[in-house]
Amino acid sequence: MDELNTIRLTQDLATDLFLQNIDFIRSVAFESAPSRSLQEDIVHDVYVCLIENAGKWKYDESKKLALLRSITENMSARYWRSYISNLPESLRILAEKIQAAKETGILQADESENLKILALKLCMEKLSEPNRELVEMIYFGQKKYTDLTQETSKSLGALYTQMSRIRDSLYRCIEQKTKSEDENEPSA
Amino acid sequence: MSPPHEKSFYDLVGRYVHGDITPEQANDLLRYLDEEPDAMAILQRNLLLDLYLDRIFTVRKKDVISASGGCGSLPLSDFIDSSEFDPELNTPIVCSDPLEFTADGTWIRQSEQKKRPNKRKRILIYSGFALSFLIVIFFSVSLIRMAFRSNDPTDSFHSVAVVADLIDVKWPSEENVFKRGQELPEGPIVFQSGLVELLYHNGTRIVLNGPCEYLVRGGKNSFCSEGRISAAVSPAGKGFEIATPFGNVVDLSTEFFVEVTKTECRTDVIKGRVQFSVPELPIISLSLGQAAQVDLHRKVREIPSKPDQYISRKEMEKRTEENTRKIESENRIRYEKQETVPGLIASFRFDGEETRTVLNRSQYGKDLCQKADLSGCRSGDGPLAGTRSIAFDRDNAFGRSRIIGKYDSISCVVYLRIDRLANQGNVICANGDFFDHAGSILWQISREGKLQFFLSGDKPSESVRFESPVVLPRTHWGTWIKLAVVADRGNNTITQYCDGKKIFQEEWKQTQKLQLEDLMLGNLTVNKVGKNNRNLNGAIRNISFFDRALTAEEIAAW
Repeated sequence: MDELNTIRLTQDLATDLFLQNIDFIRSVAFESAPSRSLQEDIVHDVYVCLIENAGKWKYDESKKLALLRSITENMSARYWRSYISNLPESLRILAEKIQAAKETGILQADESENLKILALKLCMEKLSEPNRELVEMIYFGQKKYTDLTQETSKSLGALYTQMSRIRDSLYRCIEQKTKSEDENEPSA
Repeated sequence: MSPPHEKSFYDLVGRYVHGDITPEQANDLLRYLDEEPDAMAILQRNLLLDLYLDRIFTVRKKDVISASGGCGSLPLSDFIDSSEFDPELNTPIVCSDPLEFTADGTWIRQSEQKKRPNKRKRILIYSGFALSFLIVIFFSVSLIRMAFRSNDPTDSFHSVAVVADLIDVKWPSEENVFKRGQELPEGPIVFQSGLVELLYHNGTRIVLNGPCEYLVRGGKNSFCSEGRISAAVSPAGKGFEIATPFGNVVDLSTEFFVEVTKTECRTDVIKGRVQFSVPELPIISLSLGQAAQVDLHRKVREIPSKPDQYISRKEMEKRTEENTRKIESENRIRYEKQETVPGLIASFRFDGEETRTVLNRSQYGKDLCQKADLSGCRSGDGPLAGTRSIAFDRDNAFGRSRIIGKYDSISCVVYLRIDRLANQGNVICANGDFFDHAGSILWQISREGKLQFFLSGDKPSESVRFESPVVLPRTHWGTWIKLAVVADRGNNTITQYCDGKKIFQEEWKQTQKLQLEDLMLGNLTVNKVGKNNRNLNGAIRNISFFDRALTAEEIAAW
């Protein structure tokens, strides 16, 4: 372990580090640049950066997440600046406001991403049949809202409203589940 | 301001999350955020859940983060020797320990192996596992995307590229067809032959040469299992990566060529540098004029470069021009052949090449092409590159003509595209005075996609309807299709055809002669715009009328 802590980060190790922590990288990217469309490019650039600079960095197991966070934040900032500069003014202000609102702690990346995803899968099972079908049609079937208006005979606004409420309820469910799991853990 | 649980607030949140929000709606949402303390939390929860839902519905790596140590942000210099710190993270690092090309035809980094043989071996095994896993993920994503890819070309929010050009492309099926100018979300492009040029939104140009199986993954990521790729990567697209079953080619701001077959993968550098990484082998850096090849046994060889295989933008333009000339020539031959068919009484054509089609007149060419005045119609793209059509996409769009005479039998053949079936009746052609004169015709497509042919009797109540089964379901929207109807007095039958195949036939008992006076194309109720709309919501390439019953063979050949 001591030996690992002192070695340089090689390209092979960097690949391993990237793959092991890809969920964390995605979360940090979203925290710094909260737009889903930017995620893949940021994550890709983090990988390229790791590979290109691998030979220059020391690998410290205890600080690997901090290293990944630093690189990802660096990349995200660049993408975020470019992204918001192309938006109309009101949308730019809105995007900046969402990104700056750290006090809610909702977008804060941490190590429990996997638990939240796990909780989400359980929460999905608790959704009512019509709601689950709607979620699956949009995220799994990649159907467009405009198509769904004809299939469900609902207006576009009603569909957006329904989907927002479903996401909100799923978030609350995740919170409850992760909280209750913490409470159930035996104290030391 | 109303509380954030109000319906309109959730509507705005949904619109923002899915990128369907206007600047005015963004202002409304900002007002909620300013005035309601919980509004921001609800919005952020929605954004996060959108990310999570997208993640769990995508096949991807499921390893959990087994991290230890803090997550706080630390400066990069903490991890870097002060003597080697490079503040420009994207500056390419020159390899201080270059690879050597050995006599047995493989690349090897000997010095590193000599220095730490045991650790090197272990890391190579880890790296091999990791890269193999990555390839499996690419394949899985490819299959899932192929199965569930949306065909809706309007999804521009997640679009990463646009189809810039197509030359002689042969698609495997109608479901996999891409059109020029179509926005591309992430997903596969599969074709059997020809050239497809993609323009990424970051400026990168890719020319795919078939047979090709290519998967678009984000603005800088792609996967190719077969095909020849010419890539000109823009500065904004630096780092563009083409993954293949044999290894990955990563751009370092350059132009390069990649060829992937079932047994090997080669890459040629036309300009700049690329990284060529093969699982379990050191990463190879190739520069101008160099080429490398890897086979099924992961044996990497240096090979002579073949820059002539690379298709530049200039070369692509030249081929496009040649292709357009070829299509023009083919069209001319087809028109001349059509006009020899006996019994043709009118042929309205809107499918000439762009420079020759007159927007407000169908007439060009020989005398048989009768005149049709068009009103409210727009010029649209035709089914072939460089050809046009007339779009009937407005409520008040119509064509009008007169075909004198009364006929015992008639046939009508139309080549059209339905974009949507929005009206109860979507008229292909009809007599403007259908309800007033016996023997008038009305040929339309119902909202459900059925072909309906009406014949008026002496009284409105004596009109008869001949209706086919559903032939134009939603899946056929947006594709060009040939429809025909034949009223055959000899056999007393009404027959309808779709793409040359008989889809309906029924006995025809009426005795009135048929007439095509005051013929309307693509609409019927022009005087009642906005009420009972009957416009086609599609485009017509050409429509022809005959004074006799065509045979199935003649229709198929038309």
